Amino acid sequence: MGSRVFLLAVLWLAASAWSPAQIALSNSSGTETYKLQGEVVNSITGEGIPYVLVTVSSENKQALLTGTDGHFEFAGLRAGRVTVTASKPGFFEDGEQKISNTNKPGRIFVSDRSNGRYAMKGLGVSIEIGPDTVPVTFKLMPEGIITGHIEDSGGEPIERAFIRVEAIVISDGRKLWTQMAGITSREDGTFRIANLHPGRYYVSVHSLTRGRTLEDVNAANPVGYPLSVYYPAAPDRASAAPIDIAAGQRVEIQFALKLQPVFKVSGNVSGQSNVQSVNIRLLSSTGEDLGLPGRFYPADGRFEIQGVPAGNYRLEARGDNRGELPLHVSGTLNGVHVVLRPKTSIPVIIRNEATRAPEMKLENFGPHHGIPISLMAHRSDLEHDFTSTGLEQHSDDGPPALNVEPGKYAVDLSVLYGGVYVQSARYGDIDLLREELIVQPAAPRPIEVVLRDDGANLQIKIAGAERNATSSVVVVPEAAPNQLKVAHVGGDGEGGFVMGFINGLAPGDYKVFAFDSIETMEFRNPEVLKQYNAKAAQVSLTSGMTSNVSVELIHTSQ
Amino acid sequence: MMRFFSLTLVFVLFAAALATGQPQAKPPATFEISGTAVDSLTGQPLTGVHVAVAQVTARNNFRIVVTGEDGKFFFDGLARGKYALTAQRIGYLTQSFDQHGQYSTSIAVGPGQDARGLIFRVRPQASISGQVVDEHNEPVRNARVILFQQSAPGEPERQAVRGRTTTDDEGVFYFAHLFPEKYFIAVEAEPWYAQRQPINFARTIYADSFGNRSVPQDSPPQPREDVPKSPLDVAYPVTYYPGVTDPASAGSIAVTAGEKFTADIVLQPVPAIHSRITVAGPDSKQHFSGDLRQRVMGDTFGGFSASVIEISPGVLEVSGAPPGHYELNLNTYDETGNHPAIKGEIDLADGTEAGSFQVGAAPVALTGAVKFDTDEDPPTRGSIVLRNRKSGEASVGNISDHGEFEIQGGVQPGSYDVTASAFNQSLLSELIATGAKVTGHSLEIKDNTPVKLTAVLTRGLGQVTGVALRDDKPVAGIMIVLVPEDPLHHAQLFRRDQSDSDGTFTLPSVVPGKYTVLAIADGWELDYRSPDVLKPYMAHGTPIQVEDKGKYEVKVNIQ
Repeated sequence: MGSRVFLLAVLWLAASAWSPAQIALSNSSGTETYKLQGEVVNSITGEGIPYVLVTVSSENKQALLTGTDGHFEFAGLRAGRVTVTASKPGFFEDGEQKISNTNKPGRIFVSDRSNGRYAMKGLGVSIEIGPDTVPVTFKLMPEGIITGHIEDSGGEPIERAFIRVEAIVISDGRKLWTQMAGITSREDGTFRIANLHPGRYYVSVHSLTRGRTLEDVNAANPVGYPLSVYYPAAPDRASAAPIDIAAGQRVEIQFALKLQPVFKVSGNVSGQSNVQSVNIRLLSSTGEDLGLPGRFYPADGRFEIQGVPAGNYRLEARGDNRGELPLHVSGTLNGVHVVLRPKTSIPVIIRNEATRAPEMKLENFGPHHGIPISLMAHRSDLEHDFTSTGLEQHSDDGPPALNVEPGKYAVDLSVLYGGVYVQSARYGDIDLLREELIVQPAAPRPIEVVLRDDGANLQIKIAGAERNATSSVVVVPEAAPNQLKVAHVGGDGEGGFVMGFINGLAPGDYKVFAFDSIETMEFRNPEVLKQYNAKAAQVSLTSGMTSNVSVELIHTSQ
Repeated sequence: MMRFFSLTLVFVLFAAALATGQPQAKPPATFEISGTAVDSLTGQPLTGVHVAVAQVTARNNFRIVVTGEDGKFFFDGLARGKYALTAQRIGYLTQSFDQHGQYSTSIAVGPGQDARGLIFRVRPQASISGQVVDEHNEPVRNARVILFQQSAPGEPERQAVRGRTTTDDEGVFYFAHLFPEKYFIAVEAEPWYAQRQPINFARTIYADSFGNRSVPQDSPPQPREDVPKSPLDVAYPVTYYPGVTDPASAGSIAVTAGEKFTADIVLQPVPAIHSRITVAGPDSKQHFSGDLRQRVMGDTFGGFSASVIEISPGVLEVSGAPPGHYELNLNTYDETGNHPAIKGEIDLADGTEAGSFQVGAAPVALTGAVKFDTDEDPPTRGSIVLRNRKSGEASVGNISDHGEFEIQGGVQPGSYDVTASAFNQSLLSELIATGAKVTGHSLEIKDNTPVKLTAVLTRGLGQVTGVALRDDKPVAGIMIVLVPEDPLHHAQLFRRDQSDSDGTFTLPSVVPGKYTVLAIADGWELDYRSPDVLKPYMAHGTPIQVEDKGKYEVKVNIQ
């Protein structure tokens, strides 16, 4: 009897020692503490990095700095799973964190800026603290640095020039041009840009003040620098040379700018109300603001812009309404006429063919209940125009409307109610689920959206998923690949499988992909997904039914 | 007949002779300014300098010449008068001839003046750069660096911000285009690795506009003893070149023309404070929010990322800042709404001891009126400025339509310099007060007695012109100072000028009173407002009594 009790007591103690440490203010039984040692090294040179901040998410967050050799040691840690991070300015926490540990290697975000992927900081590594914990090695990637020099054709340094560094970054499965850094040149014409992740960059010089000496602004023949120059000497990004930076690399570049004749552009604006102040901007042919403001004279609606080098531009006038037109400058240009127009208002008619749930009846929508869909139009014909417009509801009894200027738009459409899907969305004969929206200045027809709630459900079984990792499922309808859906599935499955569930999908054929990570994948590009077709699962969904699909986890590695 | 004829002939001939000998109407005499632009350090002629002349009465009407290899510039056809001569070139600051601060030597041209062969010493610009490193000798990125310039002439000692920048990835900062002046550098930064731990679970009390609180009122929570203090909960105090944390011992940097000064600074971390501040005598319905700021230098304050959170009624927890002397701005709100900020100064040290903060440490009410020294109606626009002689902080009272003013919120007891600002062409000539002691234009407030000021303005400003002489010869470029009686209490009455090429100078807008005019060679570095510095010169200065709107001409011997 005694020994059995003893045995039970031992088992009980063992069981409580095995359970993960909970946040508790009082000492629990099992006050064994353990150490965590390790080092942080430069992923390129392998040398230890001094003074790196290492944190442990134990009961109370502990933090310390590594020594001069990159080593660290935490003491007094309770048994259990913790997250450990290592960070320092000038380094990125990417790459495989090779952990010499009995546990599986944790994976952080792999990134490679040349393809536009980027890392997320601070996620750290998951480590089991206990008697078997072995030392940890973190590898941090050193930053890249671009240094440079700007001078004029006479060799004199140019000060206060604005230098911009751009790269393609992937966000939500799309490639986006993003400004990564901006700086102005010093008195000696030099500049320095650090904290660059390995990748491909485009460097350009912008918006210089027109000339510097009194001669340069001599009224008779004004001269100035080009408004934007892309490395090494290109007028736009399309013809620029990229700069590829590897981890820890230092790159040195030069810009030599030539003064050239500059001209005055003038004209008038019509379509504004008397008291309106109109903002005149000169844009590049791709819609980028060139930082050369125009002067507007409200009394007679005149405007002028000084200091424009020869080239192709767009002129924008913005008051309550907006007007824009292309401009070709090869000399002084007078009599440019810009007409401000109100935006084109496209009514959006939402038809609800919900058959099941009474709460989905159309009269439940409208101004008092909100618009049931989200429709965002992003201008797609001008590279540098990032305007994004959503639906607006102006009158109480009219349909919501999309108010945009003439142009071409990519449309993102989604339903704000679970279990409801968009069956069709048409603008005349344009199928908005597959094509882009083209808006003409003339009187528009309405956008017609049909909603249904007799969608299908999908249960996804992911093989090869890790116990505690999140997987990402991409579900692509064959009929309208643009309307793909993404779901993140948590990893707490048993036996190597993880289950996910998506409801309210439009009936039809689908391809299903499961990835370990899509943070850095351009998954909205069909060409990118195509590469993984072999590992995708096919499934046909029928209205009102739940289908099952099994798919193997795809590891996206460098 | 013959005689008559010959007489006539002679007369005619004489008349003819007179006619041809009569001088034609000559064009007015024109004059010339010419010379060479040279580098003030090397003495070598400078090419590519844009040299401009403009009459001092019409400075926007200028003519420009660009120097060639020989550095020479030449202007002729100039009418008689005084001209401002300026030079502009890359690598050199735009400057006037023999410039000192806001003064320079104007070139007088006219009969008897020779303005040829001038040597224009163009001073290359100076720069201050440096590296900010931390206690590990590693660069500090994104530290905020502020460049202060020693006071502008004629103003009481204030340091004005001349530039701001942030350090790059190497911890380097750079200030360019500097004149030879005295500067200070201050650095503000937070350690990048700082771990902030509030001692208490900050129990922010949410109060709606009716004063209803969502957390029951109780005594302040006790500090959590079981939270070990992180060694990384540190902060950097504001650090001044060469590495001190007390602005009074900040080292001044006197750059000379063309100098590239290096100012490296090391930041040392100190434990961040954790303090509780009890707002004395809180109304139980009053709540407080606040922010801390610290005077960096002059009138400039640092924005700190200190956290100030109310943890129970009237008790604030402060964390995340270095120990030091702060100004605490409190906003209070109760059931009647928000109330204007209460300000006060407090010393915060590390530790969880509660510091006590006097709300509304009774300020002294200060009101007054401005009037002219004539029968004229009082002015309707302008302000009276009181500047604390110790802290340098300024309090302003704008005048009403009736010439009356009040300093909102009052002032603290102390010593103040009073000035009249933005009054149209008139200056403070006399100060009278009840409730405080007046000496000249200074005010001493000792206790809480409300103070009533009368500021008397005068329009009767005089002018003193003259010539600076050495051995009876006029000399250009000399510093001229008009020293008022009792200089310590009449700081605003000083006037200065630089003698022009003909030795002449003008001291304008002089408030009537007793003065001494001094001409001091190489005097530009002197602290000319200090009575001790002036003492050796005063005996040989030229005394002058300036009356209402009087104009005077004096001769001053150069010392």
